[in-house]
Amino acid sequence: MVDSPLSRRHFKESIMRFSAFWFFLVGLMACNQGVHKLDVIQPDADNGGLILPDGFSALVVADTLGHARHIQVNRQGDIYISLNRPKNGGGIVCLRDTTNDGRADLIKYFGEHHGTGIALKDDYLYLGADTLVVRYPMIYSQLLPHDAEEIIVQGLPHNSQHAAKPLTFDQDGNLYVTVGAPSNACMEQSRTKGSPGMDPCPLLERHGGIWQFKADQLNQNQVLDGERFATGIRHAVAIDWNTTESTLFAVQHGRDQLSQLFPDLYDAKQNAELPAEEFLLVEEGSDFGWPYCYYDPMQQAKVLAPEYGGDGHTLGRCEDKDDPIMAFPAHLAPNDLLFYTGDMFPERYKNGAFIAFHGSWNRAPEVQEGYFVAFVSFKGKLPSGDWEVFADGFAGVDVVNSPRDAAYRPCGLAQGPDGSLFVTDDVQGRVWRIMYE
Amino acid sequence: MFQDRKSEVSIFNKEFVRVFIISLSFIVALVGSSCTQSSSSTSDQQTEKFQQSMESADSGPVEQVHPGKSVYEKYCLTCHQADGSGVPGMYPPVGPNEWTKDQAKIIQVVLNGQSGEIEVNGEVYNNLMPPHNFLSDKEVADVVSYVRANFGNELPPVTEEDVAAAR
Ligand code: HEC
Repeated sequence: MVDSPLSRRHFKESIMRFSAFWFFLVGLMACNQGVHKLDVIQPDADNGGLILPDGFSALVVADTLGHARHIQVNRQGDIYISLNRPKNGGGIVCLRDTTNDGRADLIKYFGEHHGTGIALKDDYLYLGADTLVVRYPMIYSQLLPHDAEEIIVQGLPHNSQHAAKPLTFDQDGNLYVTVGAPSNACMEQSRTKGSPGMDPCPLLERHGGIWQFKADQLNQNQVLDGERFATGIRHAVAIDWNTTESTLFAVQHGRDQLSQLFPDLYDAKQNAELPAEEFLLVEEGSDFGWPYCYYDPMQQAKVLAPEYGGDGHTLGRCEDKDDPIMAFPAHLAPNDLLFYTGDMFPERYKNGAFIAFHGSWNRAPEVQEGYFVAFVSFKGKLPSGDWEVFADGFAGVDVVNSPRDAAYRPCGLAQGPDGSLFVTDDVQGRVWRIMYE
Repeated sequence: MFQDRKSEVSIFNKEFVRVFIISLSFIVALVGSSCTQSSSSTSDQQTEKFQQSMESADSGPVEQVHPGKSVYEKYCLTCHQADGSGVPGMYPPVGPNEWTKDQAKIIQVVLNGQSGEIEVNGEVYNNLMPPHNFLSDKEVADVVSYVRANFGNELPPVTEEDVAAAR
């Protein structure tokens, strides 16, 4: 890899970047005593439509960007957002605020791939497209990355359901990629009433888990180079490496349609409450049980799925599957996870987890729920309190009967250099910045 | 053209009958409640009674429940939602579109399911709808007719024979 001409150019570039970085640092230290950013940035009078705890405020950074999914903010405050569908010829939208009022005034669309996963690491911007992971070198002080694309992972399975490939990095040069299962519960006939589950579920070989790759190695293949780090995860759009605890966490989209597929065992009300969306502490070799098991928050246990002979109570082979560290209400669709390390928010938020819930569709005929950002305080690797709604009001209506009623749906989270929390919406493409005091 | 006019007329008739019967029961309810006023009923109780009679007027034998409604609620509502609006990016709406308006197409989709990329009202979907060929000809005809008469659609029903021929 070091021998390729591309890499040599990168090497030169990175030396330049390196020296530029020191100039930048010296400059930063010199003007550290200058204006505090928040004195300049005024929140919106209506907090951009959000309902927030006391002391917090918000502003709309940008609007109508497209199907804005995950988001990253770099040290200079430039913002990078993955798009589910390309817009204006790009699958990534890059935002800059040149006037220091917190609102993006430079908006550029970039890159030929689109998707959900996006992450910044060592001056590269990584994108998790639906079948591959690519990266682009960042150019110091410029908003747009260089378009010299490098393929990190290719040939990931193309799923028509759960196609998103979210990404995160650990501190040892590894990349983690979720490969969701293109399935509800691995039925022989997908989502068909009474169809039995395939046993063993062949999808688990290449789906339904989190794979580990090298962050810096080009052209990796899922089977040859990737390691299936954890399995039995139906789809975890929300994944984050907790740098304080050096541990991977994820929040799973649980299965759907218990009452439609097994009307003799479950009624509509049970369908709306089962199963829990699971908050997972993911270790190497973890198995969370999908598709054989689901987590029942009332029984506080992993129970055997009806596709595999379960009756709603039998545990069977699920007894030795890994349990979640917390259970959220069913079907809320956790779409991003962020461990907060900033200094702006009050002490209790430090090292706690923010979770962006996209909101449910599979609670009908009950009303839909969960169009909000939640917070869970942490002590070490475990939650230290129950979950709470942190930011609400995204839907813009009191009752969401069907998802199309919701004006906005939270999808991505990022922390800014000053400790602000950024939230994206993938309905209209709005971005909020949430600040404290 | 002819068909359009015909359906307009019949809608007008139905609407007229509905309005007439609702107002009739409204009057009956008002008269009824003023007759019982001698018993010491509070105004709260009265409003309650009034509402009750309103409700029974609404859901009385007048409005015949479409036989496809229960099929829709049992097999389609979870994905396409109670108001037929679907789920953005996942499940397309079943209001007026290329599929719902084409009798052969909608019967096919219900019987055989649908997968791969499709564009519905300018939005792209790439997901999977399972086949519903386990439903009887009557159930399929009912649910297709129900969809074609609701969610903004005003299209003629399909018959059991249409479904049988499509199988
Ligand atoms: C498991 C979810 C699911 C269920 C249950 C379901 N559908 Fe669908 N339906 C879909 C999806 C997904 C598509 C689009 C498929 C694609 O992306 O190619 C679709 C497409 C359609 C279409 C064509 C496009 C449109 O929006 O008009 C019609 C009509 C339709 N469904 C009607 C029905 C009816 C009637 C039922 C009940 C008998 C039903 N569906 C049950 C998921 C579902």
